[in-house]
Amino acid sequence: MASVTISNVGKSFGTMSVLHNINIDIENHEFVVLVGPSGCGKSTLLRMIAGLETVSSGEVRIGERVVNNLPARERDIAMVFQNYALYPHMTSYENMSFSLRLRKRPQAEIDQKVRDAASTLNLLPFLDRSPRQLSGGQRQRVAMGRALVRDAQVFLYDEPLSNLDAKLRVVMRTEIKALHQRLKTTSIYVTHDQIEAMTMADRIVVMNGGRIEQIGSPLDLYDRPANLFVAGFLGSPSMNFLKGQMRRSDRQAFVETEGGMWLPVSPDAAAREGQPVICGIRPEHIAISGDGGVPATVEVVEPTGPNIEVFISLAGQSASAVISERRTFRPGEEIALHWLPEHASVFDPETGQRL
Amino acid sequence: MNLSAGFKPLAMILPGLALAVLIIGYPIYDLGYASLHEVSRFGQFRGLNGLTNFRDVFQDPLFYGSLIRTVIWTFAVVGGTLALSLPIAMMLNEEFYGRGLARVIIMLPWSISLTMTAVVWRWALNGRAGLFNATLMDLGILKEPIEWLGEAHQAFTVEILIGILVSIPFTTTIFLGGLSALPQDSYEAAAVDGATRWDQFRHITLPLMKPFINIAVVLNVIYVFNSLPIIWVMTEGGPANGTDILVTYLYKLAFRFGQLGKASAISLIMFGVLMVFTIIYVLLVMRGEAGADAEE
Amino acid sequence: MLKKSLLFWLILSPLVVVILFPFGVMFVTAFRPREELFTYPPTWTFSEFRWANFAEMWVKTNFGRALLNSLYVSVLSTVLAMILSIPAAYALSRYRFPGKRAYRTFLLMTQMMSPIVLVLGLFRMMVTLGLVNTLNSLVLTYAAFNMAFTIWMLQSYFSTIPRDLEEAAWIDGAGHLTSLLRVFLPLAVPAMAVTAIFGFINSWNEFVLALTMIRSSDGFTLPVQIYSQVAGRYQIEWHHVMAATMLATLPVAIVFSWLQRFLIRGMALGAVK
Repeated sequence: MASVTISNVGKSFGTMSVLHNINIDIENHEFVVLVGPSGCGKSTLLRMIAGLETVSSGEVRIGERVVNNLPARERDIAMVFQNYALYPHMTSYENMSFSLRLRKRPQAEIDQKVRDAASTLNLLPFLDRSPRQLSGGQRQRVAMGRALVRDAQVFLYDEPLSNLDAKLRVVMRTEIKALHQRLKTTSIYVTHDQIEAMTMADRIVVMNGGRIEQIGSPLDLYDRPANLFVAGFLGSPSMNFLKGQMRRSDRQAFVETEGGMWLPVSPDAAAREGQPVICGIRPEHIAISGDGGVPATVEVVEPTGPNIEVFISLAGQSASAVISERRTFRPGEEIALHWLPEHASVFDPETGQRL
Repeated sequence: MNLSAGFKPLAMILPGLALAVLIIGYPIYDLGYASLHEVSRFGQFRGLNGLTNFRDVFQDPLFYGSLIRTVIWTFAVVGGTLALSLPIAMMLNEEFYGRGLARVIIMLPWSISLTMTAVVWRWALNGRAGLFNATLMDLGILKEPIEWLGEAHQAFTVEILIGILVSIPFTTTIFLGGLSALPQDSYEAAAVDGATRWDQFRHITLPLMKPFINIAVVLNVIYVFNSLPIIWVMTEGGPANGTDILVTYLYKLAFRFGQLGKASAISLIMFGVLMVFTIIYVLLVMRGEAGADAEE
Repeated sequence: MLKKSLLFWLILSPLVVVILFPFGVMFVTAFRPREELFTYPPTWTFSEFRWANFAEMWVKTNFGRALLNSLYVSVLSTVLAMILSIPAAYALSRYRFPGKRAYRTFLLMTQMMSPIVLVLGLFRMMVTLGLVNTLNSLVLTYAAFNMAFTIWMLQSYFSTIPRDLEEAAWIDGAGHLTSLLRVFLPLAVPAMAVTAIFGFINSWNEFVLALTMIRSSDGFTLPVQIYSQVAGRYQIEWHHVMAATMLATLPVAIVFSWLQRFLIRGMALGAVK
């Protein structure tokens, strides 16, 4: 097991630059998730760590070794592919043992390792089957098993769950996390699904347009997003953004909307009086009562089971609130909203940065 | 997978490319050279004679006769093939009992060398003992055997029909490839919208099949234009040059009459025509690929 | 379904009859005793299956020699074409490289090039190379003219083999060669076999070049040998010709019938876009 250091890494295809100046330090045993919308460069970065793409500039180190010019097979990494990439002409056993056979390990050791991995992944009854004869979830496990037998320095996952149905995805998510807690192999996991990122990661790297937007633990990112992109990307339903101007009085701070509504925000926000800002407040931080708060109008109500999501109009801007108590709302009903000032972030609309 | 590809892919295509350039490129150069020279019947160059060979060709009535027949041959065979192949392909694309067998039978002429097909038909159409006559007489259509290949017009017509027969499998294959890629839900949507079968054919099948029809036209034109064996084996361009098309005439000039300069000139003229159609084909294919790339 | 099937077969029946007709002619003539060839009025019936026709034909038409020639030319030209095509098709399906577009255009154009237009130049070239009247002249030309087709077919099949299989092999510790030999090739073998068989059939059936390059009857391939039994002869032994035609075509027709669905799939995959 090893750390992975990515310093000033860039990637360009011809004249088109797809990754700019990426710096990430991944510690030994850490589980890091690269997350971002499609085309943000996360898969390219992972493939560069794997040795499947060349590094245009900068340096990738695994442990103490600079691996920029090392072919994939000498990097001592294992990878789980999005489409599993199981060898169709080999059985599950042959798929999982392929790397060991290439390394000419003794048969007894190969057998031991494959059986260990298979029993961990509940694959023992399927070892003689070919990938064609396996279900999607079983194929996914074989792909995991292929990585597991390796005792590799680093595990790389390229959207490994995206081809599974929603239920199975949740199950496998937990299994991968449990596996990591046991094996503690340094892992880098690429996904576009922010829930996977939040639930699995020790640290999340949010990427957008070939750049890193923010790095941090899931809850740090969730509670203190560095900019509008991260704030909007993490969390579902996503954060409400309400435009207005900064107002300060005593030790309190507000954002005044166009209709003259005053929204309480954290007094720590570094914004001048009168500066145009965006107030960001998560739907689940909003409480609803009959009166005494920020007035709003109910538009659409969607119960999700554990919660009720209420879409509202607030001084002409759209927002939503998520509440867990059982209450009925009528469309058009006037309500009042409450939240703690420290739950409301303030962003600069020009730069998108948190203030 | 652009892992430092460098010169490796070039090294991979180079050997094949070299052979193709040698076998296909050099003869073109040689033909160009020969067409501008006086050439003895044993292949010796006797010196530059400018465009004399081309002038000879254009003053030769047999050339014009062959040219006209080539046009008729090409249009008739390609037209007939397309008219038959699209309905055939549409039937073979549907489920019905014995479809597999029908496919095998209709593809059968493709597997057999044109030479053999022509030899068999030549015998089958024999004026005295041919089994084609036998069949027609058994059915009561003919009273007396007919000499099918004895007269030029009739022989040429027969050759065109056989040309159509052997071109159907390839064309049907192209169409089947196209039909199998048509989106089924378009038909379902059209059916829900109240379209009849004919409407579906006109407004969905035809427009979506257009790229395949275009390609089938161009490829067939090229193949048929160049097809020697049927006419060569059945009538050798006779009787009295009455079924000669450009390829048979060219072959006779080159390998029977030893008029190598003139034959080279005709080769080049045909090469020019071929290039025009080839460029059309390449443009069609490239356009198709550009469309496919845009969808990705 | 039954009504539809009957209707379709009814519509197709004239074509089916015309396609099968030459096979009937071949069969009947090949087995018919020589005396019954020119009975008048002509008829389909005949008195006995004369198997001796085939034995006679084998000797009289020098069939064995022509068969060997055909096999030699078809096998070697196919092997040569495949050896040159497989790397080229792999490069086309796996790499970006400068000039790729131009190369694809070149392939399309050579696919369209017909031997007949170039035959005179080819003949002169083979004279220069001293290859006229040798079977190797056919091996070279067939390989060259088949290559465009084989590269296209292989390329379209190769593209259906996911790249990430090879990438997974690299990560598993395989070098480029190992991943080619142990992951790519086993998956590509069926496509290569099918493509090779089509290349073989093309060579087997070729006429114009064989007629031109081979001047002595010892070197004739089957189509030319059979043609020579018919061309410019005062008396044609039709029962021998048909027996020879039947022997030369039937195996190929059977193999082709078995494989034709792959051709359709190849077309659908993009051999013809």
